[in-house]
Amino acid sequence: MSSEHRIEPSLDTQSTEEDLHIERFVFTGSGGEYFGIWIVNILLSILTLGIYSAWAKVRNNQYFYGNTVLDDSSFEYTATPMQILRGRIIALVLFVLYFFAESYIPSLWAILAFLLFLASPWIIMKSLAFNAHHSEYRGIKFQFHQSFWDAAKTFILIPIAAFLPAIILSIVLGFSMETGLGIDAAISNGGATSILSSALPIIVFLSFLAAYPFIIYISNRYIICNHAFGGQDFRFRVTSPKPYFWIFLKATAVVLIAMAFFYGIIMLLTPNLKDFAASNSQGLSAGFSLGKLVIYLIVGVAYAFLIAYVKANTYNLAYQNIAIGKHKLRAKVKTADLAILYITNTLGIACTLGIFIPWAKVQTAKFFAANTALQVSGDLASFVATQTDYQNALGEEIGEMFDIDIAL
Amino acid sequence: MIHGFYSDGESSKQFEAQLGPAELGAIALRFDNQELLFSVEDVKISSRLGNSARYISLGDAGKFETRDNDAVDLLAKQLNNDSGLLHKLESNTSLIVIATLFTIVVGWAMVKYGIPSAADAIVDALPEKTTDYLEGTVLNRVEQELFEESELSSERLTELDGLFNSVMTKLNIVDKHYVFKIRNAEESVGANALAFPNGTIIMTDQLIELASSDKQIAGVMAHELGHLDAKHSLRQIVRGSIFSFLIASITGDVSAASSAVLSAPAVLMELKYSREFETQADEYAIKYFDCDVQGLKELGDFFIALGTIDDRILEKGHIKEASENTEEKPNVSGFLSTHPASGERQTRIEQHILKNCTD
Repeated sequence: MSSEHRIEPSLDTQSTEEDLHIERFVFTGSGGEYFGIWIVNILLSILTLGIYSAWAKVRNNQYFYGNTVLDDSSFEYTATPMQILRGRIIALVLFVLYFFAESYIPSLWAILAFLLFLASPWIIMKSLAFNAHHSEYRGIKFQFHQSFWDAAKTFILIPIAAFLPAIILSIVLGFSMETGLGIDAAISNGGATSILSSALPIIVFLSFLAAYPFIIYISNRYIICNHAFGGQDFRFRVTSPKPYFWIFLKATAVVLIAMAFFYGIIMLLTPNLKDFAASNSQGLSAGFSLGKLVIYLIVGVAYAFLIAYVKANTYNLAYQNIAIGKHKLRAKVKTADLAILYITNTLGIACTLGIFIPWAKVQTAKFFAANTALQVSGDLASFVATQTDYQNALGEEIGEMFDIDIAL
Repeated sequence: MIHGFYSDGESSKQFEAQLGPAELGAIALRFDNQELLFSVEDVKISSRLGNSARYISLGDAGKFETRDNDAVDLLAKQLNNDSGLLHKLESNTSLIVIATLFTIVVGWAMVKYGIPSAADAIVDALPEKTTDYLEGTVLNRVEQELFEESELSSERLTELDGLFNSVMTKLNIVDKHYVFKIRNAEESVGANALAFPNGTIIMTDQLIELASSDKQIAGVMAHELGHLDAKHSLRQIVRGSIFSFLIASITGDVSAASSAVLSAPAVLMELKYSREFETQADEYAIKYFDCDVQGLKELGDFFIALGTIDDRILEKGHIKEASENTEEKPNVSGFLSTHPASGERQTRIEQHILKNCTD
């Protein structure tokens, strides 16, 4: 599978002024080599009842950083296992408390969930700062500017405002369904109510569709613009959410068309939908018929392509538009290549009951490295060290424990 | 001398450099026509990870980066700075094979013995009242959505309440505040009985009608009381959370794989634990009948009857609900079922009779 595409310097105005050249990222790890590290990580984590997992995380990150090469230098992950362990223990205590409260003390759970929600911008910010502080290139640390207010705006206030129409509408929708207003009133009153109740789900859907890309945009902007390296702030050259809207709009359109098409085929094959539901409900017990297998395969492949489409385009949009000083990042991930990577990785992992995971991770790292490059203007020698404060791992570990996702 | 790159920590400027031992136990760094000497204490060598880049800290901020891992290992040995144990583990083929097999065995033992006993320890340590906190909301919603008022006569309902109390008395658990309700579930789960963690048992009209004797009903009551008395739902929750936590911490971030692939073992696990609990509850019902051979036989017949009614429900094309009587189909492997096969349940009853109740 060829995943490499040539990335050429863009011929914009600056190119005449200085010596431009492309430095590609290269991932030099191998699946077989990483397997040893991975299995020893698991083994020792089990034997030490999880304590080693902090060391495992550091070795894991060091392997992936140390094998990511740009212009003959690799990246270094400098966090220590003890930092990770301290953060992890506190996060684990919180997690256990949260999990039990969820099942048995709903009132305490509600309080914890609300606090977690309020703290989530802080968690995201601390996690980004921790990782930046412990990432080095040529002996220079990355930095993350911490502004809680910015984080709160990006991850709480603006999302709430953006989703507000959708939230209000779904409450209205839920209320009208619950009380039977939607159906009964439509029958008795006819006319206006009927139109409203049937249009409501579509409006809710559209308002979610409008809000989501906007939130992705502002969170990408927050993450990128607050990073710095060697005294130079990262700049994000996308200044409006419009390209994000297009990605999600196209993806949604494709899904709707595919669903209509699929539904049509099912209706053709099994005129009685109840029969289909019935045969489906026996799924596992009736064993897999060939027809069902084909349907599952088609849905699986289509799903991989959809995810790959969104991931490839948002990745390219973000990485293509990051500038650091005079240098610019370039990214050229192709949907089809990424979809094939997803499918082979998933099949590999499923067929080997997880043994393939190290190869999958290495393949993924190789793929994204090969499709990302830095357009260097002059050389990479002019970054200077700046003072940064000590960062603890608490935010990072809480974020990980509660699965708060913060990737670009 | 080790060949590599040196940066001074002040800027990202990078020099081609050589590093190696010098006189008087010092370490010499040569770059750009300069030579810097560092004492051994100022030299820190990062531990080896496969063949990824190696970093050697020099003094406060300087850093020497190289890919010549073997040469660095040699230097580390000379400096008594050798921390290559993990790398030896990680790169030794036979150790990796052993580690893989060991992990599989430990993983299996963890699922079979480790998680259940850890969960039991947690559940037993919890105060008795914990389950009371499960506020009525969940139960209320289930009651509203699945059930309607019973259509049995009030005399019959009183009779069944009495039966429930006599079962409680015989099992010696009258001090527990378990609540018994009968509801109509014609539209939803059909012939069924459910035990809720807060101590409520709901039995459906349809199950009562299906039973050919009160002994069968008493057997089902005992089965459900078995679930409550052993706190099965709490155990299930604790086991499930330990299992998902382990899976998550082992597999870590596997963005390449969809999480669906990883949740498959979790589902299989839950089904396995679920069958284990059903078997325990059956044993509770068997204990209730003790050596009432007639009652035991009727209970076995009733399990079979429940199994066939479930087949009929499916044949009619209804979508199966999460329920107490989702019996196994003849052509399914036992791994995919919530309950043991009805035949298996009956066999266990017969074995009990043979073993304990024959003079």
